[in-house]
Amino acid sequence: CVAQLYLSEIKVILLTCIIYFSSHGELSDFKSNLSQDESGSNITGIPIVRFRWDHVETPYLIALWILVAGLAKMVIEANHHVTNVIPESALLIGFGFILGGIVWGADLAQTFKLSQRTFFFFLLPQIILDTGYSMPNKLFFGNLGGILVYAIIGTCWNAASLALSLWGCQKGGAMGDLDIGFLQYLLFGSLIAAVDPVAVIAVFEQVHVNEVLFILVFGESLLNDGVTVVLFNVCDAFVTLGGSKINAVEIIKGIISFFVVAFGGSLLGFAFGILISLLTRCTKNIQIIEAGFVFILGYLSYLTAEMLSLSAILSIVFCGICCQKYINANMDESSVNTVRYAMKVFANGSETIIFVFLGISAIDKTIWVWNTGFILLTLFFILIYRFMGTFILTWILNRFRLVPIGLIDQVIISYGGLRGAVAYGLAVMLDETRIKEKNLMLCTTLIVVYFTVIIQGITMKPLVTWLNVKKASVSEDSLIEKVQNKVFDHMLVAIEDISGQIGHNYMRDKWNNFEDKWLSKLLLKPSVRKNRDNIFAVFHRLNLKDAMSYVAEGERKGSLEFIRNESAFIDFTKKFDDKFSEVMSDIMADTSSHYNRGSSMRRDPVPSVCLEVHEQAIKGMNGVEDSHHLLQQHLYKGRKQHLHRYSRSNFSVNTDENEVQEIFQRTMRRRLESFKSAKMGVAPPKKISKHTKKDQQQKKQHKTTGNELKTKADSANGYDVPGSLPMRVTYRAGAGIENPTFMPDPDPTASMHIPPWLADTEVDSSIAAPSQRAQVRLPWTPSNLRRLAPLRLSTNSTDSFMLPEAPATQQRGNEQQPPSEEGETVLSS
Amino acid sequence: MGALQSLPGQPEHIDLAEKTGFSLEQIGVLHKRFRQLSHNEETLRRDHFNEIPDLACNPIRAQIIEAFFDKRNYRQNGEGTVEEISFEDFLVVMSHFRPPSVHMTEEQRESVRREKLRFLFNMHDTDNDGTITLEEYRHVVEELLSRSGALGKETAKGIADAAMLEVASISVGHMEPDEFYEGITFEHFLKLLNGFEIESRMNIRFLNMDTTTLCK
Repeated sequence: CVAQLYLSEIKVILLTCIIYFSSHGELSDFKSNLSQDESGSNITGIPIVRFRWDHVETPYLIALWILVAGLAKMVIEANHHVTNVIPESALLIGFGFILGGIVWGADLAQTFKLSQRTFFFFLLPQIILDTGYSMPNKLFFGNLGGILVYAIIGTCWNAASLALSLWGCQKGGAMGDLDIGFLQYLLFGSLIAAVDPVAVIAVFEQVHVNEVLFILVFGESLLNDGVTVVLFNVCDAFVTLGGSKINAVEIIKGIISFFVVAFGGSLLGFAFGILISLLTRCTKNIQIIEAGFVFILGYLSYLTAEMLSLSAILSIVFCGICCQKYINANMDESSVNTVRYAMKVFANGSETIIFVFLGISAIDKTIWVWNTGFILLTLFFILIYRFMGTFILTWILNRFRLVPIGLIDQVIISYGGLRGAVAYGLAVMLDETRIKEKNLMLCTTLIVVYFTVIIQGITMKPLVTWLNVKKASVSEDSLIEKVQNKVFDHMLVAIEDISGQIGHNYMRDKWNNFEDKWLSKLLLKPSVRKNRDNIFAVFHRLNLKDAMSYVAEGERKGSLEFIRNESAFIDFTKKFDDKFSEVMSDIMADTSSHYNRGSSMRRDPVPSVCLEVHEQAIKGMNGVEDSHHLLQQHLYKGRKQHLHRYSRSNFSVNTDENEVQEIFQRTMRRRLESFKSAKMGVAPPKKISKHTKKDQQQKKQHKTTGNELKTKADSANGYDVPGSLPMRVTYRAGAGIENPTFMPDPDPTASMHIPPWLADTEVDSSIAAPSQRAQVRLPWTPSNLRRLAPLRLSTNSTDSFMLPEAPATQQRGNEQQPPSEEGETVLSS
Repeated sequence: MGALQSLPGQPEHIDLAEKTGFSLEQIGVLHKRFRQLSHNEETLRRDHFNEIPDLACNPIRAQIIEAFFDKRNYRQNGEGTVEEISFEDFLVVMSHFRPPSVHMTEEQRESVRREKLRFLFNMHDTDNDGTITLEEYRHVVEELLSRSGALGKETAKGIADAAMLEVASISVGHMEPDEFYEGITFEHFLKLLNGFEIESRMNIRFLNMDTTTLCK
């Protein structure tokens, strides 16, 4: 496998060589040839094609580099045996070395470098925005105290202690003759002090440590980037000012500036976050571009902060943190997904590019100024002071923490202090005229970055395993845990209230109340405000997941084939026709006609979903599926709400024809039944209240029948023809009934103009339904337990999802006949 | 029981400190709070709790207040409810929320965890029959959702049903269709919340500082 990997890597390298040489070497010759030709051919006439490399050069190269970086990632990720040992970031840097070597070999100079402008303006913002946007807010703010302490005090400590020690060592003569003053050491310390979020995420993502540890390292790395940039700027100003002009006033000004820049940036971020939230409130009509606002405004918050010389990183972080909740609620679900994916694409892409370029930048003779003492001492001090700082700060923090940070976690926090591209970007920014040893600093920074990312990155995983660090529990979100979580929250608040403590929970509760009362009103669409409850969100998500796995399962089994496959589909129709034309000839006469027509029409995936579910449901009654499938089969229910929506509003409101049709199909049986019972004078409520009993009997029947197709056939048979007669005929809506399972359900028009008597029975049945559900202990049978209750809520839809599935299933089996030969015919034909 | 003065460091307080694990300062603070809530009486009644303004908007307020009057939570194998509680009972119930001390063996940790979950379980198991039935669970979910406006009772039911089904599928595994799931037993409950960080979820920092004057 490894050999294969290398092989493919070599291929990519070859590819890039080709790209490179073609773009630089031969092509330029070619170009000159061409231009000569062109100039020659100018006279003769219009050129048919021209080769214009210089015309597209810059964007073309950028695109190529992005492509190369992407390919590199692809190759690296192709084999997980390697990435399990060496983190991806290290591999990417290694890949960069190779690429850089090739470029060097071709040009004998480093033509491609990561300029700080590219880095800070085009690569960094999306990574930070992504981290902010996907920040686990509760965890972040729950540990904000610790994060801030690490990020602010820790960073300052790192910078100052490193500067002091290096300066001391220089005075002691450990590094030979260097032209670096104390202030310049301070500048160097500040640029290299910060833990880099890009590197940290890249490594910790693969380690899966517990969430508190993760948020501490991650949050620190995010915030201290902001801090370090500020610190760097302040120190830079000091250096520019020169040692002699610095007095107490300037120092105080520097400190004030530090806080103004940091908090100003954060506030600006909040402001932009609120702006985004407000904007997404009113993008109903331009849904297609609403996702774009998030990126543009996020980027603007970065640029604005940069313009005002506030901390741009902090600004965009807090912008993301602040808006995530509201935009996720405000925007359409597909837009949310778009944002989510686009974020990841951008962030991951630029992360890859950054690492590759970090590698490429190394292959440059001009920056390598070796000073063993300086470099080794820097490495040494960085490690030592990181550990010292973490231990001291944690000791202080633990006095205030409910759950103290353990020793092992402290070690991991210290060891996770990876330096990365931000430090490099800042080092590139150093002004050569003022700092004579810029190249030494740059080179040291690079070595520190390589050392931390590669060596510490590789050893991180074994260390985590060896120290037995508590890992993140891999738990799917389950409803019960969500409910318990909520219980815990409220309970803690209540206990704090009762015991008269003003603690963390008390504050959070106050904030939540405030948010509910004011922020939500301001920032959320009125329509989404009400069903924002997170238990409900989990419920919804689980429902969706079940539904999807349903479809996936069905498609895997190939049972949806006839829907995708034209010929099979028609085949089925024929079979169906044959079989049922005798039984319900009058229905077939009508439905089969637009049945066939429907086959040539739009193929909507939705019916396939229903079909699958239907099939599964029947299977479930055969007792062949596990209880998890029981959960799934209630997909049925989720749709039922449409019925209500439909029946209480007029047709035009519900514009989605397929949806309407689906509703018709689904409810037809029930409608048929109620119609029949009304006609026959049987009181529907009575009937329905019997369902529980019948249900169980029916299940046993199903068990015995075994074959699902048979069951289908039987159930279809179960429809008494005369009852449905008045209801069919008129329906001729656009899409045909594609779903054979629902074929026998005749005519939706009946419910479009529900006759009063029919409407009555319908209402009756829906009222009667809860009575069945409201039994104290439900027998846990597949047909009356439902996971899928309403997917969407409307204010007065209380009964919409209450319509139990029982009637449908019950009716299906109601007049069931013993397995007949007809069932076999379906199979054999 | 009862007759305590509010000064910390009293012999009664030392007993209580041993029994509940609170420090003397904490007991002092809590005692002050107790007097404040009870209007300087020896015992607390339900309406005293209902008077706490901050508690008014807590959706599961009733259950929590009830937990204070539930004999099962007094660590004495009692059952049933009482009408009023003394300071000692108050402290004992409160001590369920005390963070475990740092130096503990794995077994101790486990037993603390069990105790805390037992408290929670008892809160849900209102009729004390050892299982949280669907009805009881629905009640919990309903109360939880009672403040989120449009999510009506029916949604709560739907969620409770789904959660219960989830529980059934986790704890029993495969079930025959007409099998009957009685409810969550304590063992199941432990199993369900296995991955739960109870350490951070059911602990409160009891301050030594007196903040009662700030709370209403």
